[in-house]
Amino acid sequence: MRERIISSIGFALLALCFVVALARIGLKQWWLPAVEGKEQVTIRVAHWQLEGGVRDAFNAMAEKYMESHPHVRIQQLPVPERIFPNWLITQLVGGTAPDIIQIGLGMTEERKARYFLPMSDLVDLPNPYNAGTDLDDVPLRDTFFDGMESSFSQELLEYYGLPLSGFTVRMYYNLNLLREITGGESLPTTYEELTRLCRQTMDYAKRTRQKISPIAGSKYNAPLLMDRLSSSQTGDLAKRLAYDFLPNRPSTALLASAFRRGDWSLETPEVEAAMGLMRDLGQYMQPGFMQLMRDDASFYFVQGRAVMIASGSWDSTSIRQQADFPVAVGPIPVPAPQSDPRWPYSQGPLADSTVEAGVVMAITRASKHPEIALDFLYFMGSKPVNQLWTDVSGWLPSVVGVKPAEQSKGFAPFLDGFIGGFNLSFSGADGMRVYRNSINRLVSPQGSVDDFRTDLAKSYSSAIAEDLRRSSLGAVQIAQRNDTLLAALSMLAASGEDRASEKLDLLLQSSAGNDYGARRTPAVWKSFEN
Amino acid sequence: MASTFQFNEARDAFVIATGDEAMRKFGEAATLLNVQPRTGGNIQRARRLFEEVARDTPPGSKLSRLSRFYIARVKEFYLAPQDIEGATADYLSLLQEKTADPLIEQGASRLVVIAAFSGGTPADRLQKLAALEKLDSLLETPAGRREFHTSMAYALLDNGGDKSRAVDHFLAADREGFTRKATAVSAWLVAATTAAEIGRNIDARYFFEKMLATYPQDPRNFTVRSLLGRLGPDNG
Repeated sequence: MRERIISSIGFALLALCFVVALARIGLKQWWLPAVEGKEQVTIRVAHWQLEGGVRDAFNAMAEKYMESHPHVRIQQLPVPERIFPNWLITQLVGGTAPDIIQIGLGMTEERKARYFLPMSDLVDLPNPYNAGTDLDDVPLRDTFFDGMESSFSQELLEYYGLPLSGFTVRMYYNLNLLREITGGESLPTTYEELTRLCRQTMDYAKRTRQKISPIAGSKYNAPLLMDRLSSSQTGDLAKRLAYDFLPNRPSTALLASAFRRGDWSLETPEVEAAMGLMRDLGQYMQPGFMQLMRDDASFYFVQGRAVMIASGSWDSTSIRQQADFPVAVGPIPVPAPQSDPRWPYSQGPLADSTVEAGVVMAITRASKHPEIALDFLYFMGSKPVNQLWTDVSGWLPSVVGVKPAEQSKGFAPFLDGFIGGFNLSFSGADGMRVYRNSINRLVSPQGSVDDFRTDLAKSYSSAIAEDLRRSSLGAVQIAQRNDTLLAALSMLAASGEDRASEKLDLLLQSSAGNDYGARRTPAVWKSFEN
Repeated sequence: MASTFQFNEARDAFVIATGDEAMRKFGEAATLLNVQPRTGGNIQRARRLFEEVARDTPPGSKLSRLSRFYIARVKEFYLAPQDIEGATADYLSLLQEKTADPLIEQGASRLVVIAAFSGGTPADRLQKLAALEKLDSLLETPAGRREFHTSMAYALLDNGGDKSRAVDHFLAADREGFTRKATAVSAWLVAATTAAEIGRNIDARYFFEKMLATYPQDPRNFTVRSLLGRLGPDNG
């Protein structure tokens, strides 16, 4: 009898769920058109930003748009980052892609060209939703702090989409722990203060018998910190090794060539100082951190098991939402010149290495209502709505003049610093692989610079060679692809086609640079085989 | 269709197109270079079509010359092993005709790059590069001159050549005008630091200041300002 009642309740609940689902679909399909007397249009917007606050920000923008456009329904499709690339290609090839998709993960230039609508004809015209603001009549391109470089495809010579946010990397602090450990809330402003805090944390953990690490690390977070530190020691070396150190920090081919010639090695003093610095701070992360994923490190931090974590502004709202303690953010300090004889190659503060915007949202060719999708894109990229975006998401704005939200003020781009040098994983995927395989020998308590160097040296040269080989093939493939495009543009320019001459000129510059690399990189690669 | 990377579809369209037969053949050949899967058969057919267009159209026509340019590209980038000697001869022959075509004039840049990474010693390569300096007089388009001078500047630096001459080439390239940010920034900053290194401070200042004025938000500008501040009077 009891079992029968439970079964009945189960069926009743199931039936209720079905009715509710049906009602929701019905309301979406019929209710709005009845209100407006217009055909209802649904614009679907897909992205992979599942970090806290972002979905709320998309919802806030959608709701605001729907208030003034009641016949339009904006539907947000947040897709997990892990499956986004596969989901994307399935949607694009299947012709079922949403109207607006975030550009980045799983995107290739071919896919961009085939499945997305370029916006190049619009970038010199004002955004209609900026009317009445100080960006009224300002060309769309100039309303974004990066001049829409993040939207511009260097290969396709077209603009795709509008950016919503800017990003920087900072150190997050658990203020409760900081107060308990130091008796105050002052954030470290120098490298010495940073390592002092790490030592104080170790002492505190020992004294109170708590499992607390100074810094939460993972294979994702640790490089954000380590690369910045190591590049603080290799700036002057890079300058001596390669003529393109300033624009390219330097290029892989020149750095690899210098390595092959013996102009630098894993024993070069600057490189040794970089390794020493990485060990100096790496020892303050939890054991085995290079085996951990991004979420593991974030979890470790929000559980209150680490005082600090290095991450980007994109994690700001997630961390604040999950942590039950106040969080502060500050720059990642690097050693100052002459501050410590162990790090004699420091130049001074380092600038944020990039100021490009992100979360670029673009319209797909599959959109049945591209004009409405464009209108919503303009809306999201306008000054008042970008302010809403940054206020709700806690992320940095992308539009000129939009004020960062209170919690994102610490992420404002820092430009008054030097450009750092190179990292040991400079050559690419294989360089990164061997570096990661050896890093435990550097940062584990039993490890050392010598141990790390000896282990890395076994496969370092061959990893660089493999990266060069892959890069050589890539350059030739780009040269071949450009050939067909150049032929087409050349004929179109000769026939007076609109913008063809301008595009041809841009592609000539791009392909000349690529073709240079298509011969230089193989020459460097071959030198590794001799 | 080519602009959306639909090379296979573009090739199919050219195969069935009617009208100007030379244009049809040229279009088919140009798209065949990227039809997937890329096969030796497709490349051979593309080459044959380019040869037919070059032969069957008036010798000085754009289509004839472009076809010859693409025969050189096939020799340089598509054959295994590459026919560098053949490509070199083709590029040179086209340049000597003073085509005033920005794409065909890229042959000058190609000759520089081929010489820059050819065999022999750096001294041999510098000698080859010196012999190519005269190509400048054959170039009639800004794009042709810009890419020639840019390649020459980098080639000299890559081979340990005369840095002052490299700066001259950067200045010549800059006079023609860069419109692509990555290309411009790279050229200006390499030119500026090279000029500063050899004491040509007026030129260094020119390039650094151009960078600051054109891209004021660039994260490299703190370093640029610092280097600019260290420049003394011109010694060059």
